[in-house]
Amino acid sequence: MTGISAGKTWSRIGAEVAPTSSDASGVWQMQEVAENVGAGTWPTHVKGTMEYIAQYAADGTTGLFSFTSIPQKYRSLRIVMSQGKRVGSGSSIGMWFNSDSTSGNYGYAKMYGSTTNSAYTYGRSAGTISMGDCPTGNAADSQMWICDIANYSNASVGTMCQVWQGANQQGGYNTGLMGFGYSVASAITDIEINSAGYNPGALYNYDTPTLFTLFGIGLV
Amino acid sequence: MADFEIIAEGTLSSGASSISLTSIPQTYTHLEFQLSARGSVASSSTGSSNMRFNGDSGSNYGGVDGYVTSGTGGVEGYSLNALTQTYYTHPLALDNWAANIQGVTSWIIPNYTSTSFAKQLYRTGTVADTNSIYTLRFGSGGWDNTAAITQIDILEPSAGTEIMAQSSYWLAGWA
Repeated sequence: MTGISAGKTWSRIGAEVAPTSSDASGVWQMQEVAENVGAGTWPTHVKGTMEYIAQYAADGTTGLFSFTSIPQKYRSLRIVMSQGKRVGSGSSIGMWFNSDSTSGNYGYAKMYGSTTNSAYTYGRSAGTISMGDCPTGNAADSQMWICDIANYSNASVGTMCQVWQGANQQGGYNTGLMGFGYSVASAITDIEINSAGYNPGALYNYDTPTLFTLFGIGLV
Repeated sequence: MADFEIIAEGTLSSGASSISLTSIPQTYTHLEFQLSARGSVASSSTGSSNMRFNGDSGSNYGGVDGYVTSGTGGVEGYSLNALTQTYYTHPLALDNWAANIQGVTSWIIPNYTSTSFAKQLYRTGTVADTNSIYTLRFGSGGWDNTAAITQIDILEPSAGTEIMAQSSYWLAGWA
């Protein structure tokens, strides 16, 4: 059809310029896009963004969630726990990579405040990320944290993470920052979030409406 | 316009004295930058490198950090006047530390396109080598310049050293 071709300086619906390897500005009709894709001249580079990977919603029956077979196409991961609540009492929130519970492979430094107290600690242990435990009881109480896991898909190096956390717990507010490192050179393919801190398994269950959401950032 | 979009990213295939992000689009509201890196310095202290905006090496930067290093906590500020302190430190793992560990730092640089106000930023960074060195920092910084930020440079940890291979970074824009 006359007028339906790529790279024109005009078209029926707007000006066009020829697509480059990274851009296709202007207004394009479906046929023209298809024509360029077929010819291999449509830009193949897609900008990375923050993309949803998976989510778990707690229902009070489990204290252990595992993100498995994590896609290796992203540069970093971000996990968000929102409105975290627990059933019963227990230990800290733990995070392990690739089913590795070897304490010597993890190190952490954290600073936190709880009501009017503050503290900072450091050491070697299997990954625990809690500066304060998840609240229970009062309907208005909850905890949230964000954990960034940098360079996770690079099998040539270990993995370093940062956590920002805050909670409101019946007047016992707490907040903190934490970093922890995993020294095994490997890509992170599995992440376990539990409620037993340094230990395997679950010591309490997460309650509704707790959500654990995993995002991927960028593209390698 | 996406709400969150990667502007630039990469992994160093070999050591480099700097990482330069140039021609930053002015189409976003805020920037977020993350660096996971290791420096080719042998030291028992946490390493750091420097950040500059728009190639400005003048005495136009300042900042303050809260920190914890292996159980010792404190606060330290950075001069606005010393050229050698025109930086916002971030933790780096160093060459003689436990193998495989990198330091990770994240920056939020709000309102970076403004031409009316000096720039402020917020940063957190950490490195834990699983052996003996554990550092966590958080801080704010300022660049006393009203120019829009179009370039970010991460400079060598110290003269003659490098940001090592496999270091990784991404710069994103928030709508």
